[in-house]
Amino acid sequence: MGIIKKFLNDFKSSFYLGWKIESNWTDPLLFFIYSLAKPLSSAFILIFMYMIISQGQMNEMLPHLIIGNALHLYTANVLFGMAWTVIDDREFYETLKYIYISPVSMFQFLAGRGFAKYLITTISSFIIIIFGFIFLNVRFTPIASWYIYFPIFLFVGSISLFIIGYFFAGINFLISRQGSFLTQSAAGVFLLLTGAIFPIDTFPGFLGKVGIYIPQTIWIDGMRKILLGDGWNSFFINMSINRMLSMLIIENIIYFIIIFLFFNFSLKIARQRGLIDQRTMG
Amino acid sequence: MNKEYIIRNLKAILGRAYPRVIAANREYSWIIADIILPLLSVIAYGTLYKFLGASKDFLGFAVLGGAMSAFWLNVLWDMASQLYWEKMSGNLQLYILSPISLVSILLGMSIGGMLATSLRAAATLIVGTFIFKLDFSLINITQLLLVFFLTLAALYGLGMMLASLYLIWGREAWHLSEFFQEPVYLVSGMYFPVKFLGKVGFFSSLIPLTVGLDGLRQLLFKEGATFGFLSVNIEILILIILTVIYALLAIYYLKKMEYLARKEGKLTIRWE
Repeated sequence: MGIIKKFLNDFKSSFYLGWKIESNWTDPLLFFIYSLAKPLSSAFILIFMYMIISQGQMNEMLPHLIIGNALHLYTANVLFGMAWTVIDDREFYETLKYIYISPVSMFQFLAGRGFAKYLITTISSFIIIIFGFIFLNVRFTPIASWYIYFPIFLFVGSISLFIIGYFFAGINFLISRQGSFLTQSAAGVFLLLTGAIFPIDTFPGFLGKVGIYIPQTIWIDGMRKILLGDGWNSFFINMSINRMLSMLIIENIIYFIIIFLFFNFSLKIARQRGLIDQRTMG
Repeated sequence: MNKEYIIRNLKAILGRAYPRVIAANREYSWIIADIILPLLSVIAYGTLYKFLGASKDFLGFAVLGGAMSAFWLNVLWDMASQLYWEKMSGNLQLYILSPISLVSILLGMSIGGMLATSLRAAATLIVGTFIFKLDFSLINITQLLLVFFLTLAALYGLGMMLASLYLIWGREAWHLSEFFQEPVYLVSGMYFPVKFLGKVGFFSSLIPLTVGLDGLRQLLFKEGATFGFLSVNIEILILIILTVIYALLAIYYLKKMEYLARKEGKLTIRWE
């Protein structure tokens, strides 16, 4: 079997498993409602906060907020999906050890599981944006050639989600039940530092600059620029979309190299210390 | 009901409250998680308000909402889901076999949960106040205490009722808790005054947090009354009614659940 064919097969199997775990506990309609309730509620909380303070006036900030929040859902869910897989399969289903000894690479396995979350998030994000478009009069003012940049930026940004997901999955191989807290708080920290719901400059000093070095910040602001004509973080405001794309690719490559090494190191240490089948959550 | 039975049940309440307060504090990562997770949302929503140019009282609304969200999370994950977890770990059958009422077990969990969560909610409130330099203007301390304790009583009554329902609903418990998180934050006006939800606010008043939080905001912030949903006295009355209703429903469903579980032989079955 060719390497690519095997990769695709492994990916497909782990995606299918992830999809079944996510969805097979109920009927499709209930699952659909359940999948949408959480992200839509979070989005509506932000929209209400915005509407109350702006006294119902719409200005250019609302579309930025809606797009930022819709894209942050990807960060939160893919990151959580991949990192939580380690805890879930190790602690609750107790299947991580079997996956480890199977011919499937853990790297591909987690990609597949993360992709199941990615697909579900795509539906939620799409609905949030459509809702904004229909009911809140959000209008896109895209840049020229947006149809070329949009899929490229979406793809490169999506890659960055998986890279960060591997980082937290790698950490979860090494720690016990605290992984659950770490994964949830990581999503919260990303919400604060990536400028998803307010510009990163709102934070003073060092905190306001950290976001520049997080790929998701460039991704979210780049997508705003593509769809709305401009971003809202001062660092990227005068930057061309090509430059932002180059920056995102460079950050992705750097993060990938570091995280790939870290992930393999974590797996090695976890095996040496007998952590692959540890059970610490009751 | 003899004296010995009452003493036994009081001991059961204390016994079940103990791990909620003492054992929960032995796992430091849980303490940090319980404080940090709501705090991250509080900082995010507070910063958004700040960015939008809202008054300081709105920042206070978000901080108070974040602090109170700890109670909702506790009710969902440590009350409503608890009997299901107990079944999974094999404790439920022991509770039913023992010569005590299941109500005492749930009451013990509630008291312990309230105490432990109060510490965490206070931490969120203190850190949030410090970060956003909030100004409180206490209107009436008696009403404030009344609203706070009635909110907790009604909320944990709801939790006791949900505990039985979750057990009947089975393995969907985890998903149900997830499902009831953010949507309840939205309809109860956790981060903004519920007044702005219009008529939805009347339906969401069935969740004690909605009226409780609104009352607390009115009694703690200068602009609270301006954005109040109902008058504080009416909210106190609603909370009293909810406390009684949820307590009665909790007892009813507990008996029903126990009967159904015995009849269908599901008390010892895991993963269902």
